[in-house]
Amino acid sequence: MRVQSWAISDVGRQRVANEDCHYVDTELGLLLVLDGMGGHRAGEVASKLAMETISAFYTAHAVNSRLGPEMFDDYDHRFTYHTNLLRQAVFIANRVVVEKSMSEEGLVGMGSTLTGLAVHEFTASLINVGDSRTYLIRNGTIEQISKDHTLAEDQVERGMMSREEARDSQLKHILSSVIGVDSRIRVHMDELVLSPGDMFLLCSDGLTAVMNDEETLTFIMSGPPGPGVLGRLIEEVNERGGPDNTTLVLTVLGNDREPTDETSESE
Amino acid sequence: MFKLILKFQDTVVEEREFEKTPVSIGRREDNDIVIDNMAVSGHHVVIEEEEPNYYVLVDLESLNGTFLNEKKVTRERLYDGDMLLVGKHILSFVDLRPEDQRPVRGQDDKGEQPVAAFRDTVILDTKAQQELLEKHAAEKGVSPDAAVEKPKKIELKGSITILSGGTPEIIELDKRLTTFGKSDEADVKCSGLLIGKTAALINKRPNGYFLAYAEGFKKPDVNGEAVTTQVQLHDGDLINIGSTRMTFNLKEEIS
Repeated sequence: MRVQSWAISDVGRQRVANEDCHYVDTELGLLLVLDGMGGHRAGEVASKLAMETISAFYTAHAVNSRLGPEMFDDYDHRFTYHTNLLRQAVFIANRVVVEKSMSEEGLVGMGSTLTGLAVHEFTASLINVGDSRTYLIRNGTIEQISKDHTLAEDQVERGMMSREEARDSQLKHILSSVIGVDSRIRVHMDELVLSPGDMFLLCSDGLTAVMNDEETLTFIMSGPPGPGVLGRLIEEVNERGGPDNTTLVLTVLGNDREPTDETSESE
Repeated sequence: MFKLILKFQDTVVEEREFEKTPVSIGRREDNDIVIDNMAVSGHHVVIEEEEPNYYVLVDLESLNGTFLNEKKVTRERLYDGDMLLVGKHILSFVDLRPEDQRPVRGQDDKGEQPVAAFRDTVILDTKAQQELLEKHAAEKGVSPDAAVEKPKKIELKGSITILSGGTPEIIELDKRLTTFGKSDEADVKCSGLLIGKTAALINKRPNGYFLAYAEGFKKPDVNGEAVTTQVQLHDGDLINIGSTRMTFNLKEEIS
């Protein structure tokens, strides 16, 4: 499907550095948002290193030079090659970041979340680790299609907590899976069939810390998809305190709604 | 006078009594309690005294933070029986003073539970997570064993049965995506003059199964209605893709 994409990243009002990063390749249809963490700018190192590793590995094997299933750590046959490839890229990035964090005192404990989308001819592969999210916006509704790896969400899965309790729980700030900290890592993957007009919003938790899903939807639908709506969303996040870095990648598929201009990025 | 019991993965590593404060905890050798683990900062946390009779823990802006009874804290009063999480280690705090000299949570500081610093994301490893979850379960009056046991989930299991225009067979829809069409790579080969290489896809989603049109002049139909984008499938639906006829069946399985 035809992919159009816009990205924006903002440091917010309370942080000195922006440790988020994003990757947009509309030709290949690969979109990533990462949120790094760790003191003294180590988070920046973690998210950038993970981003470079994942995009390079995926790009190398997505079209030409396909890998056999034996080249994967854990090939899941319920999913397509490309989704498995994306997860394998995350496994490799995890090892790379863990190794890097062992190499320097100042980088110990650094890590990064990830949410990513790979768009194919009729379908999309979805991947995520941690609490950066991907939303599907379809027919005027918004649906979170990533899965938060937080202790709160884990409690919900175990039936120990309701979704409402989880929303207010302190446990939602505790990540249960992240790239670069533990050799074992949980990666969520999913696949869906696309329809023309589908929109995806990839975001770091700077957005979700201050906006609920319906509020986000209202902003996204407030104008033609493009830098305008993303800029307004960032302004609102900052007016609500801008507690963290916020990165947004908005993608539109097919031709349902007319885009405002060419694919562009702003920082 | 108090005691700290240091535990790592269920094993007591160290048990120490302290008369005087401050008592420092960290990775470096010059701490009173040394925790040799990369998740712990050089000087991670210190325990001090506060008038009239409080012990207080102060996080020294550690990278991974300090947790008191599962909440991230920067400075907080300690009470007998409190549990601290420092990196991947658990420290139990035992107040050794006579009972009438110890403060009791709730009696003198409005009973406020420690409040986490706003939106400070932290990372826990698997073992520490489990400890926290079990503690949480215990507080809710559920036994830890029950907490580990997953709630019963109803899983939707879809399948299609090829009736005509192809090899008669039942195909379980276990994959997220099942492709239908003329292409050799299609999971289900369909025939028909005007259908696409990838004529249709069935997508397994958390809330059910959806059939979507992909490409080709002739669109798939469900119960006689042409599908132009996506429709949710229901048990017993009749699907036509080109000259291939099939039914969709849905059953619920409790796992």
